[in-house]
Amino acid sequence: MPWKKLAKSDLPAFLAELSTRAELIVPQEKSGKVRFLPFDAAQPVNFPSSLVDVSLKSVFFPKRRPVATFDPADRTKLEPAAPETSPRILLGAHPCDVAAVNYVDRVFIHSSFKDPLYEAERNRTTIIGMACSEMKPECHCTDRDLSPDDERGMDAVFYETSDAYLFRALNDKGAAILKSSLLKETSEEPQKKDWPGGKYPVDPSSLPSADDSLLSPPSSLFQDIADLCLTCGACTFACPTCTCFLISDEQHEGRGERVTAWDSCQFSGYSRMTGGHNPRKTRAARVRNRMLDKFVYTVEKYGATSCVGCGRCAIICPVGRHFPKEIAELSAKAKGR
Amino acid sequence: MKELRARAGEALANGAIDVLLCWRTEPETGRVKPHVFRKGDDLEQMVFDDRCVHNLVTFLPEVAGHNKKTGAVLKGCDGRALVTLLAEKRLKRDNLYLVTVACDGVKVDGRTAAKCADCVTNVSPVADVVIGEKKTMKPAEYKQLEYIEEMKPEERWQFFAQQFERCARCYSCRQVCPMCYCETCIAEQVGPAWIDPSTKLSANTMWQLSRAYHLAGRCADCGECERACPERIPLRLLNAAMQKAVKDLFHVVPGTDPDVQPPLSVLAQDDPDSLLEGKR
Repeated sequence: MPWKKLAKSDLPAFLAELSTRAELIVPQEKSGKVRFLPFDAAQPVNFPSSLVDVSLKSVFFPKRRPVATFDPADRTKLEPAAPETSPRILLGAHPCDVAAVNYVDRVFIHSSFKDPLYEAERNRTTIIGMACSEMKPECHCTDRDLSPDDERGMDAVFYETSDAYLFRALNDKGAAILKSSLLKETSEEPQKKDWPGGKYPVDPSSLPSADDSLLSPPSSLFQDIADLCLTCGACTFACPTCTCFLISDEQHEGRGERVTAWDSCQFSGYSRMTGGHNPRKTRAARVRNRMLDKFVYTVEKYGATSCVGCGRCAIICPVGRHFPKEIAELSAKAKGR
Repeated sequence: MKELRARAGEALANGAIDVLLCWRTEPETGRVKPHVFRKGDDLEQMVFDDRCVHNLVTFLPEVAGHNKKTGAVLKGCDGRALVTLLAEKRLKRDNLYLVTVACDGVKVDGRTAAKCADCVTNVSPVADVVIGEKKTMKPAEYKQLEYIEEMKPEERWQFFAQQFERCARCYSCRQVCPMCYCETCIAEQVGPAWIDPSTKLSANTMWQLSRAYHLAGRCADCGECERACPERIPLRLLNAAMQKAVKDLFHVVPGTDPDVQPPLSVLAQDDPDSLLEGKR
């Protein structure tokens, strides 16, 4: 499909137009961080050159999500929450975040347990992705089968130039959104770049299999990392592909609500079972679980590794743990044996 | 730094300690982060400067749990946390070798950490080796609370509601806190679930207030909860409010005196009864 040009000076008008056609989600700053939020015309919109501080995850899978309501007096009847169907446009999602959403689809749509609320959020959203123009210090998507200008999973894409944005539709859904008098057809094309890689490469086949891990206690490698890991949930909540949640029945002012809430394999309560047994009682066991999950367990369960190389775990860690470096070292060591 | 390396190297070399918890500059990333040094490790990577913001006492129970004798390098605030942990018998003093280095303040996001303006001990109150000079600091005044105290109750609630709303319940505050070591946290109890696990405002508020209460008379003001919070919720304010009340009632500043027990874990004849007498 042809390239279309939007002058930077026309961006506010284009955003205003989109917001009349559908609910519009864009990266905007709130409480010191750039996040994907419902478009607020009073706030400036600046598309970051790469990596939005907070991932796209909560747009499709909020940290707290009511899935049903019930009458606390008669808990036998559940009223499932109605899926949202009104159209929505997501503008400015970077390739790693879109790749992450595609992975999460495997968990919530293409697995044995389909999540209708998540699927509805996906179906009602058109993703206009944005190619990154740089890689930030912790970015390593090129080591995860991606690149800063990867267009997979997007309905349309745009590139930033010095004075304009160059848009191109990638399917009919995207083309429909790009029908605007503000976008002019152009022969101009974005310049492709060579992106560096090799910072934190991982060979999943070098890592221990799930069966090995189930049958053996964590090795000293994991213990050394666990000594200095808090096992808090900061990395899992920042991670765009961590999808674990718990279900809670909550009551407030006579109303009952069944909700899903983000949970983390790093919490000791996560793996505690009825009766009190906890198969991952030690920090080392929980650290091993998260590290191997991204490259081994999710391959076995959902057919794909689940690290997209955004580096948010390494940015958010309160004690400076560098997960991408650690797993790359683990892989290199295992291959050297 | 030279003296720290020499003393630590000696203790590791002659077997006085098995491991040493200190900060290290990670060569590949340039990050300064906590590290467990062992005999034979390159001590040139040891570092102590204003980037050493982490409270190493948080890691001490885990590391000391599988080593016979553990060394640790402490700032003043880390030391205050350790004083309380020792009083609560969480660690055995005999198994620790403690080096404290006079601290001039640490930086968070390139700026001197807010906690440093309110610091009450520039070296650890408990130590085997003191490197640098112990200074007399100004007493705890909790001035950071003034702007909160000036607010009307409804303004105050609005302020904290805006903060707590952002809480994702990642429990970084709990996990980074040396004082939070309950086997099963109140937030993880399920029968009954005292605190709903989802992130609605009422549950987030319940969580943060519960934690603040559990820190009354114990919080060393190391500021780690506030620094670790991915949403930068100003948690030091809650802790300061508790400690101010404790200071008014019991005349204790947590962690500053190894001979004083945490006031809420002991019963004394002269404990104030103002609450029962209806004065507060």
